[in-house]
Amino acid sequence: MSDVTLERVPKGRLGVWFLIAGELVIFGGFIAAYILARLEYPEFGSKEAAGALNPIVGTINTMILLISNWTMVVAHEAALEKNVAKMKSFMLYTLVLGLVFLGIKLGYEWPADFHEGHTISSAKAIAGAEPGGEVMKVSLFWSYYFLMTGFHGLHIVVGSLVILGVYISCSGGENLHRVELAGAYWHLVELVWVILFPMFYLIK
Amino acid sequence: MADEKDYHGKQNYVMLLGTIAILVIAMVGISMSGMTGSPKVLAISALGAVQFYIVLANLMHLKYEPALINLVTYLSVVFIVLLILGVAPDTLLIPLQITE
Repeated sequence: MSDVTLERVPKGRLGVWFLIAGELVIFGGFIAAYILARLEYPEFGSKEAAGALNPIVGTINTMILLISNWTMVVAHEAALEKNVAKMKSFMLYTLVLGLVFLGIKLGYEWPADFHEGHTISSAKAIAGAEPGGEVMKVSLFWSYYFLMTGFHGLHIVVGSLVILGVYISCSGGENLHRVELAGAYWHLVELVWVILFPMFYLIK
Repeated sequence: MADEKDYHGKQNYVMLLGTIAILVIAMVGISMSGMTGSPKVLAISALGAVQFYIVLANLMHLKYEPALINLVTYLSVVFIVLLILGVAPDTLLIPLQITE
């Protein structure tokens, strides 16, 4: 913690921090619900549930998001140096990497899961499932998976739009402090992913 | 606001992000190793928690913010941990009955 007083914190930054704290509680609620269900149902770790997810693809996506966080901090440093051209380039790289992450998730991973019959409700599986049986518990895993990764993906979409908005508003070299605020939101996406990735892909 | 003085320090972001990348690889390695059960979950969770702290404190510059912002942010995390710890005994000790 620094010795900076609260009065010195710009209002925009203060607002972003309260937004982040709120987002942490929302994601935290989902994560808490999943952990409690995971403790109750060992079936979540079965081959039909978490075992069906490809950790290599998850790792590639994690690295892409990590690199996008690096490009964002470089954009922020460029903004501090008032190097607008460099700042704009690295914001665009961040945007592209975010879209690549979404492309892998929505264009490769999710379609493969749908092909295997897994959906957010897995209604087909539930229709013939014994209440409280393994099929229903596995289906519950996929409900959590699609809900939470979908909500995370939605934050990437919002983050990308924020970066695009800041890119446009800062193009003339004004309002450069907004780059850090957009960056803080982008790092939130990484912050949540460092929890979701091991939770779904690695703990089986 | 364009000339707002930035009050956070200079950080070695390459080193920070490199550390996170190494921790990610270590987590994947543990997941693919023969380790099972609680030790595996604890090891992966610990590495995840370290990454969480690095992102929050350093990339998001929380450690340079005033005490109140730190308090609000960390309290939201503590709240979730308390929620899990508070409900977990019920989940673990009382078997849930799913009925139609």
